[in-house]
Amino acid sequence: MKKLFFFVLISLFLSSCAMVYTPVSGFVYTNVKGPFAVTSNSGSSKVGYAEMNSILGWFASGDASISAAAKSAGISKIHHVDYEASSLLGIVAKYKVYVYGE
Amino acid sequence: MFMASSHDKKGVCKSTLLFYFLIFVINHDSQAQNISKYYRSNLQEKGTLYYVLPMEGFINYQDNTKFIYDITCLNSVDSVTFNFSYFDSSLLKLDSLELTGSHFKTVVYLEKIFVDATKKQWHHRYTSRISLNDIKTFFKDNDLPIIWLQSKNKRVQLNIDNKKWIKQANIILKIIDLIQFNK
Repeated sequence: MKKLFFFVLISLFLSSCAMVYTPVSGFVYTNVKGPFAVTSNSGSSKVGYAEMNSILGWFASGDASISAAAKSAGISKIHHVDYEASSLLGIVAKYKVYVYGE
Repeated sequence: MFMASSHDKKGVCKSTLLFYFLIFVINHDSQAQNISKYYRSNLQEKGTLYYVLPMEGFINYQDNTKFIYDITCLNSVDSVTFNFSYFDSSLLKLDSLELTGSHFKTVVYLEKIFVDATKKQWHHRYTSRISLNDIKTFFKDNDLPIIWLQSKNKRVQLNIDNKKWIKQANIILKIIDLIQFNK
């Protein structure tokens, strides 16, 4: 009975790990940066930032939209957008968006 | 008397190793003060654009409200863009920001980016231009600095904890050195 309970608990735990969207990811540790979008606008003097977080895959919150990041720095012309994804053992995961523009 | 089996001992050993591994992964960056996780750089036509990620720590202890700032700097220019978010229960029209240290004081005018409503407070988002030398002097101060936000009806005092200040000032000074070195 104890084994069954333990198995169910582990299954529940692993089935809802805090994962983060990225083309490459590590189960133990992830910390990657990559391109998200690029436009034909030239030059950038401002950087906007937005993030979202997840804990254990049970709780997730935040607004990491391009519009939220652009708004944070008052950017109206977007030059390009990068992202950064990080996670640790499925316990915590973070997704950050950087918007460069004018 | 209870005797632990070798199976139990192995389990304890594995858990301890996992615990120390986690502590190492979480802490090794802060111990070595790896500044790379606190800024991003991007090559531009007119130089390199540096972005210092949002920093927390300054608090209005009277109302228990937060102040979060970030810094953007193009290394060919001698000033930085100082953006910040200030959360307050009342709606404020902020005019200026004052950085005060033990031997230093500078006042800069603010430009509003937006004001938003959150659950219980107003999110004030403002921007200002501060000279790179003034920012460097501010973060070089060994004594605890104070940030003042001035609006027509209210003067908000923001203080920071000593431990947080030392860490934050060291990180930002290192990034400023890097920006100036890459000029």
